[in-house]
Amino acid sequence: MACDLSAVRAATLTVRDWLAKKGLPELDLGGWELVLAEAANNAVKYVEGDASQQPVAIEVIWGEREIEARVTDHTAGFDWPAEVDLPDVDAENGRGLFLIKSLTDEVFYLRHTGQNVLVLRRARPANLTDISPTVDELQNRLADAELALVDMTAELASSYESLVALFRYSAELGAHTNLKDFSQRLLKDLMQITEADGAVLRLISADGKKLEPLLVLPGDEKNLLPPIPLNLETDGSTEISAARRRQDIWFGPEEPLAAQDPLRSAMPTGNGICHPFFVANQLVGIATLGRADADKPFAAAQVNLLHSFIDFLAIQIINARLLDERTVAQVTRRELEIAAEIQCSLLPTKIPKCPPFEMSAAYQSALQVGGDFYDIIPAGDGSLLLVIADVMGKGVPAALFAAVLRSTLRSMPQLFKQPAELMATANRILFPDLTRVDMFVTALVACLDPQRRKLISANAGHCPLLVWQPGMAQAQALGESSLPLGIEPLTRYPQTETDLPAGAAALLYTDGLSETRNAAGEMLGEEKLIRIFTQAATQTSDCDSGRHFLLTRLGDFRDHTPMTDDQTLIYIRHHL
Amino acid sequence: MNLAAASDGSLCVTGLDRLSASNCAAFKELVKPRLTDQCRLLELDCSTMQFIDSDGFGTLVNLHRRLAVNDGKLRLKEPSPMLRQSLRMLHLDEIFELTP
Repeated sequence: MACDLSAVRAATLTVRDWLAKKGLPELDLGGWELVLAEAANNAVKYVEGDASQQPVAIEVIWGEREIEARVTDHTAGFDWPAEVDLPDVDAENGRGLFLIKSLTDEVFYLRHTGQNVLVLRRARPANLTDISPTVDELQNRLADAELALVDMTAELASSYESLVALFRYSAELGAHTNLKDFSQRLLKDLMQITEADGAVLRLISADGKKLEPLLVLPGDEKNLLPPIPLNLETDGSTEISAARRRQDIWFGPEEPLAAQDPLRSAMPTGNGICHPFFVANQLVGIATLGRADADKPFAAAQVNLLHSFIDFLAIQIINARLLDERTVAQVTRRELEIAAEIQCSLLPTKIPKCPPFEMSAAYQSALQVGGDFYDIIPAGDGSLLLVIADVMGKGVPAALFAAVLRSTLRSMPQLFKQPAELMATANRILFPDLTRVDMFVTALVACLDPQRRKLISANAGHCPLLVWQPGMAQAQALGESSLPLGIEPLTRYPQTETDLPAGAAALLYTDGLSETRNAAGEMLGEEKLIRIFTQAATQTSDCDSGRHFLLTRLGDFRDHTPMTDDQTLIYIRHHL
Repeated sequence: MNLAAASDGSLCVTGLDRLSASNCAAFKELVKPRLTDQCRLLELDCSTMQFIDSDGFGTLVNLHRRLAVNDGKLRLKEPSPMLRQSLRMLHLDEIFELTP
């Protein structure tokens, strides 16, 4: 019957008439009619989506001692309750299962992928005898029984083979990691059991935009079968049509494949079926079975086998993908851990003293490890070399280049008091390596001279040096910047000398500070950073309080929004 | 199906041959607006009724509850043996009035 409430009445009356001809008493007829109507109503009411296009089947078997009815539905199914209670007398719903249970002797609800079968049994009345059949009727019954026996034998044999195969695959799951080998074995067995002459298995691509061939049997003709985009015109590919409609599509003499259908070149197409398969409602792929013989379509039991095997395969495909994703995630996480370890190892463990100046530094890592680092190195005569840099990139490569820059600078102590020359030399040394990996570094190098109370700096495309001197209304961004390291091999860097009189403060920082963003996506910007730095310099007296003030204000601006870049700073204060 | 109202406000439904999932909503839509506060009795002539399923029984319970608000009742007239058996099984013979 069609999956429609209006079809239920005619179907149950047909059964009733058939049972009446067998001589079943009126009350039993009414009972069966009611039971079958309840079952069929449920099959119609609870079906979803395209499954409503499939018919509801009612089969009735007149047994020697009992009558058995099977109602096949295409709903998602449900767990048949252990006890079926009668609802309150005032309840408007919930009597259907109770009626079914009360009017039958045995009920089984067999759930399966795509379809479920409700089996209902009730004993025939004790005093009922068969109305004597004629010889013709007996012969017809015998012929029907023989046909049913042949079908059952074939189904039992293929079910046995499929069960054995599925158990074998389950046992092999741990041993095989190659999805293609596993799929090939499964598909070959499926072809043998279903007597197919060819099979094609396509999987959805990683970007979800096309179906890529994984297997073409017999003989892998994968190279002859191109990927097909999912937005292809549907009349060009039965596989795409099946994916779009989310249901099986049969082809054969009456529904031949289009001339341009890629399947034509891949497999025998006298008869066949395209089966799209899904996991969690997401298309995973399309499996197609084909036969050369146009007069031999696949039987329902063989299609069930196709569904069972491919459902099983779909789960393995998803498992394999999840394993891949987990492995990639583990590698990425480990890479970030390594990068973070490298980065932390670059930072000075102790800040050298440089009276009358005092210094405080901070490095705050964003989720993705960036290439920020700072260094403070004694430069002789009580001077210090201050370095702050940002390698353009993330992860291990950026961290490694930060390490290389640090070593390169530390290897030239003779140039510590000439930051411009130090920067130019470092650029010449690093240029070939940076160019090869298409990276560059911004850096600010400064020599803090406590005797002359000066900061001598050179800037390679980095954030400017901020300086506040007593009497200034606002701190100033100082120093001329030149190209970052790794852009031009012979770049010259201007050198800037800045006075740091008593009470003055200076800030070396990376763009993670000025480019801090809040929840609305607004960027702090250099102007606001200068304002905050000025407040830090005028409202705090020592460098630790100044650094704390700065970071607190940046945090206030961010307002719990996660940092998108590292934040690194060196705060210098001339003691009063 | 015929739906007739008597002068005392009662309603009588005749000529209905089935009440099932496919027609019970339409039946309810037809009858319920006629169940005024003055209506104390809804009589359903079951002499022509060949079949009622669980949705049909649910509809009858719904109408019974509507009637009960004003102390009204639902009477099933001449139910078939099969219908009587079902009503007994569902204990609905305890809330509906059955007449031979």
